[in-house]
Amino acid sequence: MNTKITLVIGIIILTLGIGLSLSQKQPDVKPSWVQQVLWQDKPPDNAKIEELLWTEITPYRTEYEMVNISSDTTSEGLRLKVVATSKETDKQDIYDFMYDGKELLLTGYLLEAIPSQYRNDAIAIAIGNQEVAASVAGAGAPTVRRILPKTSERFYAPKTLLSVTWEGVSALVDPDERTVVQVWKAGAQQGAKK
Amino acid sequence: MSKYASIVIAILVLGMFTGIEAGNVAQAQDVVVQEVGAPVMPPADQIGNITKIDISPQYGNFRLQPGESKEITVTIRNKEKNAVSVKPNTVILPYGGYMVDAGWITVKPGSADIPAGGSQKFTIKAEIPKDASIGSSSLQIAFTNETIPTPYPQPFPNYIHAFQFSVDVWMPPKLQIMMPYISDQLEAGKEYDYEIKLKNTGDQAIGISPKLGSDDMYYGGPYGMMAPALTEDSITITAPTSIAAGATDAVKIHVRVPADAKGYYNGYIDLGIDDPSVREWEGRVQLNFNIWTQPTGAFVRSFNLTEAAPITVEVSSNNYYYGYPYAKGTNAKAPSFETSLEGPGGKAPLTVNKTVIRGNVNMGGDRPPWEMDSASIYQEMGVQYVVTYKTDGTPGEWKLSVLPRNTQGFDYSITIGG
Repeated sequence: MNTKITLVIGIIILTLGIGLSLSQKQPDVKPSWVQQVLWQDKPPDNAKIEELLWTEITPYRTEYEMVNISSDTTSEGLRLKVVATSKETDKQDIYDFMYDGKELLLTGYLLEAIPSQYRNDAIAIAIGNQEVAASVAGAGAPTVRRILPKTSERFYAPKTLLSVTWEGVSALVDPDERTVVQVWKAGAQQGAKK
Repeated sequence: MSKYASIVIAILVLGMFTGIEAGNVAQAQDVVVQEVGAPVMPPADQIGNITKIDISPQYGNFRLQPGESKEITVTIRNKEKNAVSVKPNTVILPYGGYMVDAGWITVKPGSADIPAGGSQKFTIKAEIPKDASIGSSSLQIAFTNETIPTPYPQPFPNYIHAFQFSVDVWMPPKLQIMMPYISDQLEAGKEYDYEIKLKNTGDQAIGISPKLGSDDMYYGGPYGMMAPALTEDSITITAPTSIAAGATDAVKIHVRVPADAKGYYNGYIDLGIDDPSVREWEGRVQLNFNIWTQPTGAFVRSFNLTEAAPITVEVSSNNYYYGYPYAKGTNAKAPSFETSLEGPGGKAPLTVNKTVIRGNVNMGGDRPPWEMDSASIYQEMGVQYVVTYKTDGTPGEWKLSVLPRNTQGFDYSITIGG
């Protein structure tokens, strides 16, 4: 074998080695509850952002069929909008994040991807509360939104709650305890603790 | 083969394996760190002495059936300039009466020293025994014993560095209730029928004995404490005594609204399902009715025309919040108006010029405080129906009549000319 062939073989082995080493260090971080991820305007450090993202978002008693991430560079950093959909509901979970190159900061969310049985159950719990029922009788179907523990701890306890809201009236529901923990009415100073 | 070429290949191959091995060594080091038995941080005497560590994620929920298990990885990041020792401690919060057994929860590693700026992953695993009963329990995994100091004794320490999670042990109910609530607007003097469909997914028949709930039915409405608008004899339940295996059947509800009924009715039907996997409240169908008296006479507004001019009348419903078309009753209807205009020459031909469905998109208006984090995200808050009529007006006295249906209020405008 001449020297050139030997060197080519060596380079191939080196390339394979580097590839193998890289694959050892960068495992697929996508959790089992996410089927597909779609980026619009993929930033260079998308892998790092995704890794952080999976510790910040989670579906409610279902799986995300598609997680759509769009990014927008602003003077404050990278603004990310994450829209997640599930097969079990036609509503979406929407998260807004800011990414400063190191950390992902959740700046807003609107989470409505709740499977219908849990959504209906939350409405049933809400209208089981007589104060709520008297205010919303015949008012049509409410919105049901997931409230994350970081928000809920200011109103009840650091756990996932569901907000069932009609126009001007809202019930904060603890789905585990099956109780209405606070009622809000438009115009009142603050929610009434139950 | 040339001697030099062989040396190059040998170095390259060696380099490749060294790279892979380096990864394994790093993992092995992780394991070594995990095995360190470290002293736990002392409690923080003052709020300013809190150890700076991050827990990610901070919350979790396991929904498991008996015999199932699930894991979650929690990362602790040390933001201090010194190493920090952490030792996870499972704390079961006995809210709600149901408690998981501490033995069902394991956290690995049992302790760790995290170097300054470093991080450590912990795996939290819940294993539910096959004979576990159903229920939901709240837990904390406290990584240090630092607590938030409080002026009064607390029933449970409020740990600062804790992963909060809940374990919901459940079994899929064999009898599925297709709709757990009926919410509707009813008209006095009319009768309504509803069906609650039940599907038995089990392999045995399941008995049911539905009856109307009998909680204290007086409640505070917009007009103070009121008796319910319907009495028990207004609601008739017809149901089979059991649902056969694999079958779907219906519980039929007939509501007869007395002609003089006014106000609200809020109650429930306890289906009396004979299935231990159904919790007491899960076998209920909530009833929520607003008894509404449809006005028989129209609203009338008179106005004068001094000269001939086109008249445009616009009538719009109140904002209705994803209104009746989405309601679950059979009485679901969109708002509508019977409108007429009478002038000096009798009834004027009134043509619908346009119908507008107007939305209201909110980005931070009047909303419950717990939904404030959704500010800046577009949300449709309600839909309004607007109908515009046009006719040619002649001088004289005119009368606009509007009879609204399926709306509890409306706006109108009369434009003369233009």
